[in-house]
Amino acid sequence: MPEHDTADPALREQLVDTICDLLPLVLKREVTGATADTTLMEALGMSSTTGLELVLELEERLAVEISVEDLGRDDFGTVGSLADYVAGNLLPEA
Amino acid sequence: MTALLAVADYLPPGRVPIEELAGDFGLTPMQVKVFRRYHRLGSVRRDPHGSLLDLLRGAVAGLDALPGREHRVRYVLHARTFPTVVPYPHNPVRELCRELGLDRATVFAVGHHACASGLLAIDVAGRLLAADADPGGLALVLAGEKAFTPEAGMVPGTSFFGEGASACLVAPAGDRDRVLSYAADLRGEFDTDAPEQALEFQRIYADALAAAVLAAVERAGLTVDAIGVILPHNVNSVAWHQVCRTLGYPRERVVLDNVATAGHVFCADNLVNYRTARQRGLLRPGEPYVMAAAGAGRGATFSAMVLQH
Amino acid sequence: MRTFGPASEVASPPAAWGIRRAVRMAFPEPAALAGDPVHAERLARYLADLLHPYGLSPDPSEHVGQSYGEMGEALIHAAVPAGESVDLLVLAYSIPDLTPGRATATYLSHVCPGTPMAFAVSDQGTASAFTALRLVDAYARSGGLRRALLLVVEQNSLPYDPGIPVTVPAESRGVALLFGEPLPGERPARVSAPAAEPAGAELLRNSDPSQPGTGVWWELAGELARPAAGPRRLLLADHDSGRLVTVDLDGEVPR
Repeated sequence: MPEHDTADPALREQLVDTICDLLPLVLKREVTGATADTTLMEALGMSSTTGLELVLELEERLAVEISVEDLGRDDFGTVGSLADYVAGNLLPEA
Repeated sequence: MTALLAVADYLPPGRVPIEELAGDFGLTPMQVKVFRRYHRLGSVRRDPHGSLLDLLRGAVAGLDALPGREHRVRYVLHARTFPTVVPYPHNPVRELCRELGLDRATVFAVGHHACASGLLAIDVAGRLLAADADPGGLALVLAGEKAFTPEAGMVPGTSFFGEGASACLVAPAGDRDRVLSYAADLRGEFDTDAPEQALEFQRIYADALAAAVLAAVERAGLTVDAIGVILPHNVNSVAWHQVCRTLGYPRERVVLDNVATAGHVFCADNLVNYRTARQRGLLRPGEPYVMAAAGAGRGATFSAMVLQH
Repeated sequence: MRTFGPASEVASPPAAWGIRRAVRMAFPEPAALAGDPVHAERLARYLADLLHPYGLSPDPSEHVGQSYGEMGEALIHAAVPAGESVDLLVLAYSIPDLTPGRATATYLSHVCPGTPMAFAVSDQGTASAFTALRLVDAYARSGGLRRALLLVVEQNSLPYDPGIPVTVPAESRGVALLFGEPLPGERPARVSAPAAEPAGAELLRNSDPSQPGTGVWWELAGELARPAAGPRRLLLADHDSGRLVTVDLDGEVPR
């Protein structure tokens, strides 16, 4: 994904880990073996609402603010694509 | 060619923040936060002591073009999101017609397109008037409902309904707000409670709505660039942002002003937003614009109409 | 996707447009859906909330009722010939069914050949079907239709006392009228809506007042099923609204 190749790899990795960590909480069931390549809707059956809850949970867990203005359906493709979106849309602390 | 002679709407003054509705619908604070942050929903209108008749009466009261033309009204249509909104055979629309002196009108409800029934009703009214071949005939198209039960209170994961109403006087011809085309995509396959269909519905929602807009625009012999403004249904902002991405249409030209303050006013949204567009000077003489809506809830309909101001 | 151009005055529908087929069906059994507990729970809530502002409450005795989705599906299968598709479906009813919140017409579009434009006309008592017929004609004039299907339905359960006079149909019944230009060998039945009662027409009466919604349409379907016996002009009248419809069978009657 060339448009995201400027994202800090360490930040992206942290985001992927945190998202995987939060999956059981938002899906309200056990989730094992999720990786950056896991598809959110197809493999995990995540609805768009649950996906959004995940983003807001991520804000709380990492104590950051994420701009949801440009968050689109494609960003919810995989754990990795969501991490890319978040990495590129962190708002500076107020 | 069908034309809108006059348009009015009514939103009751009572505002309820969506946080106060959370309990009624069993929503977690996080789910409410999603609605506020992401869907841009804020509060909805409620008229706790008022009836459907009160809402419709409120909208008709704003129709300055009606007094003096009552005898020309051949049809009164109530566009329904929910097919049954009062106990059978009670009929508040007929009561309203009696109050207004619309004694000669054929009064009926039209719907089964959920929230897209408002556009249907305008088309139906126009076809009836055209078939009558009576240039003096008019139709009064009403929309708006009470949020009387949880099903009529929110669209799961998508929106909250707000109470309110619209009224529109339709003429068989005229030079303002002429109806150039209408498109409706009926998707009865979503008439199911199966969770996988609910996911599929979310997946196709923006594309299907965009396709309806495109179909109506093409039927009018136009391209999307020619559309000055889109008057949406107030389902939420993000769904429309996605439609804009699909259409390549600037989101600033979709009148989303009322999403946060009125909520999804059943079939009245497009005309509530018409008023806002006029107030903001967004409707320019001669310029085509689009009204569009998606109706969901056991069966789905995606509709769009191109009009020329 | 169905698209429509501007509504404009057109002199008449396609040349030989009329009723090609008529089907009438009774549904003596309750809907299959009536036995579904998830449905029952949802319906109970909907009804309770619907009735509450009127100071009414659901009748505690058992009600089952019919579904216009199930009835409409059966009518579609009986009325639409194999291999043909429908462009417009209009569902006309007065008394709600056991799915009062459902967009039944949209569902029927899905199960009808051709995925027609479909909508419902209601809340007009016995005149709903007359208005629906008017709409079939109006769309045939300016909507570019090849075939249209009118479904007139009523069902026999009202699970509350509305506190005002009401006739609940004795039996769940439906009538389907398929409109279009007739195929070779079909008997066309031309439909028109005169402003005043024409001379020489046979008035079709609803012989069964316990079937207010379908009555006169039921009679019409019966007449259309009879063997040809020379030109006839049938008159259908709705006394509440004053709406008139004439149906010319087996050739034009001189006017």
